[in-house]
Amino acid sequence: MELLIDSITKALELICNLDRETYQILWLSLKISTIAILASSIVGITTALYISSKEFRFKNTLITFINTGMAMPPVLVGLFITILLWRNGILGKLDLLYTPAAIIIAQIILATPIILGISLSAFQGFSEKFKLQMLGLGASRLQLYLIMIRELKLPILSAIMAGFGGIISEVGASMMVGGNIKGYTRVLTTAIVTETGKGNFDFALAYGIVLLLLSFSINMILTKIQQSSISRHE
Amino acid sequence: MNKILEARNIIHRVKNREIVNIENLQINQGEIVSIIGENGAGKTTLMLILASLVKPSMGVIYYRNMEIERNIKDKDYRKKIAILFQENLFLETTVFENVAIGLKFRKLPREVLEDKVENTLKLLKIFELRDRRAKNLSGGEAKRVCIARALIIEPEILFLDEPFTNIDSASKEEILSDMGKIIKDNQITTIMITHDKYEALRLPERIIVMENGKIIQDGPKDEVIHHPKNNFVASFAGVENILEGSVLEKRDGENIIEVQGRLVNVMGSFEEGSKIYLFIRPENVFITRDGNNIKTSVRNHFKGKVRDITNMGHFYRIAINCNFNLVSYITKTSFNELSLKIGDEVVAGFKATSVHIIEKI
Amino acid sequence: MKRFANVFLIFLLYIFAIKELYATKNTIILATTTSTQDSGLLDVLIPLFEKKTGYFVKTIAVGSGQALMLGKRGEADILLVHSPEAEIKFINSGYGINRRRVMHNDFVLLGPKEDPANVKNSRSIKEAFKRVAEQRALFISRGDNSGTHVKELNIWKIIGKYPDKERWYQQTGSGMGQTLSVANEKNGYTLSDRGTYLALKRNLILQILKEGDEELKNIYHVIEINPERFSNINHVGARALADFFVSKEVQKIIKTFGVDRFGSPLFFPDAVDTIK
Repeated sequence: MELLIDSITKALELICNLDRETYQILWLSLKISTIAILASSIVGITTALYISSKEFRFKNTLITFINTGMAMPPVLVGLFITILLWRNGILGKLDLLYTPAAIIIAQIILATPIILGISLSAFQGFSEKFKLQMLGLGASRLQLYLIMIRELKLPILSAIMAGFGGIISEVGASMMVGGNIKGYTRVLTTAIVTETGKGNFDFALAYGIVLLLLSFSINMILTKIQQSSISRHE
Repeated sequence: MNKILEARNIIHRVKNREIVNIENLQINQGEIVSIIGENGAGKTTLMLILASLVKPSMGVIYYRNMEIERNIKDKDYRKKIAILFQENLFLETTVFENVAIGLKFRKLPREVLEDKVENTLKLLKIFELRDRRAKNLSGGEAKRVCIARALIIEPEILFLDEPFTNIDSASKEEILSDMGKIIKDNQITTIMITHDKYEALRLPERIIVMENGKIIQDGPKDEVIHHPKNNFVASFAGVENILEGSVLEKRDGENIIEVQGRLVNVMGSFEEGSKIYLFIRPENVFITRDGNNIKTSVRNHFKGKVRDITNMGHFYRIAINCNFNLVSYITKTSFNELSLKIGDEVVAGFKATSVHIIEKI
Repeated sequence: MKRFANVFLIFLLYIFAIKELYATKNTIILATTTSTQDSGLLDVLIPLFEKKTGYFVKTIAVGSGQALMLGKRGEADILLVHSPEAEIKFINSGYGINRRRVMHNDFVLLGPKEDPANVKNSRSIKEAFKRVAEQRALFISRGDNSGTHVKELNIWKIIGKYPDKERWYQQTGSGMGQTLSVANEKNGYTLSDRGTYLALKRNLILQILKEGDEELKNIYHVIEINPERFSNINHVGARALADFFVSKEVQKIIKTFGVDRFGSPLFFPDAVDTIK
């Protein structure tokens, strides 16, 4: 109990005193996960639109794969990317291992199936007649897709939130592909692991609280966007 | 006549099942056509093919003699048409936004757009609903918004897929007449799928009947109604008596048909032993208390019992069991004269000439 | 559409906000053990080296086993490890060159105050391990192929008792800090390096029950990866960092590192004598 109170005090201290290292780690986590979530949203949503609008063989198999991908263990993704990015590996020439870019790639791979899977089921539930109606009023394909995204704003934002929650709290892949390098690839989650290893439980908990505050603020913004689109229509 | 739309040798299959198979269909400029048929007859698929929203497995569509996709891009063709399905409004946005959507797709400037929406809303008498959210509209209002949304883009061809389900017949008539006026004033070619007899007959001059993906009848509405080519059209056209029989004997353009053990005389020439359907409109069936005062020209009369009596307002519907079921419509006056009750013995009859026959396939 | 453009602009700004998205050519990958990182020693040494030379050091803290594996694949430029037997094999196979002794600390056998296996009075670490096995007292092992784990396995091997399948022998498969926590919570015995123990001491009720045996010496070597074997490694940087580790200046820092926090040093410099 003492430890908990101490660490909450510590967290507030770190935040209020503008502790340089804490802010650097927080800022890096935010940047990495934001870039990753933007990229996976673009990839995930467009792919979901494409799959939902096409009929092809093995479509169900593909959807099963996507749904499996939603539950992909971060460590496995981390290992896979590490092997690819090793300088003697297939993509070694890119020199990306142990860089923030490597973490972004891992997080994109983790978040894309989540966003893809959830938005795909939303798109598939979209009325076929409604699509034909829009095309029958002269909509181009692109205009139709934009309308679908607009109409399905709620589930799509939920998908983005789920994806963001998955990657901001993920530790296995960031640790492996980022290398947890101080001041360079150390993000909030790997910092928690490091501080725990050092026995600095107060620091570890403090970073944990910062992480929760961060994901709370992001979710608050997204929820606000999501809910405003509901209440506007009441 | 000026041909605006033509379908040639259209075959459409889904999972190896043939949904539509049409050799040739022509629609003329300004024509109003209704397509009728049972569920699953392929009406909607045919409409989607004509609107170039579904690519048929085989065959070609011509718009003003231009082959779609070869002489005219289907994107450009679709800008000349409008489709109206049952109800597909953006429930969360205003009537204005809903009606304007087609113009937005065409990237019209805001001022033009506002003028057009205003005019169209006025034409359909819903201008006061301009700022209401679509989800707060009544059934009839929503239909008008849907129609406005389709008409605002000034389509050359208007496709309607069962547009007037779920509204009461009074508002239906008002909407039909308002819409009909706009369609006729602007010479908009209109193709309408419907289940409803009233809709099918109110505006269109021509009726196309589909069965199992094929067009089995296509002609002026009077002809289709009075000479139905299948059971569906017959009951659609109000022919309540559909009897099944076999030809016993034929002589001098007359045939003797056996129906449930009773003999019926009909006109025409059929092979002996062939199976046929007899269609008799209920208004052509007479009822008397006894057979004595039946005119000699009525060859077919049968003894039977009154099974059911329904007051239809202007007339009475009497169902009689004479081995087979026969339905008759009689006036109030006749009903009062006869003073019928359920179970009464009567004689029912009809002229040989009022029987319409098709051969069973 | 305008809103979409704005989002895209912000996205681009974000990308540029990470200046070092890609590694520069002047990076050195140092694969080392968790114990050096957890002790905080590298947090002092590496920034000093970077400031001096302009190199950027990527410190990857893993178990000694994994560090050696990274070296074998040419995925690291330099190793700082403490697994002597494996290191010699590594050098003999031609993966590494120029193995130099940097420092040492020692391993200690930790256990609950009550000392159920009575190891306190044992004459050697071998005898202590024997007593644990005889009493079937709970023993928590790293089980992660790290230097500490290898050392522990060696002792079992010497006394001829490998308790792999015994119920009183449990493997955590994780780092030293985590393993200490487990042993602490379960009242088990465990082998730890002194540095990590001292760093975590304030959260532990475990006590040092056996120490000082020659067998328990924990020696750290620096190894440069053989540049003839892997063309794409930064050998010049590796050499510079290795030289730095054994330099007088660093050896001096090592000597006093941790005294202010723990009252005693965490490591003992070994290289001073070997240099010139």
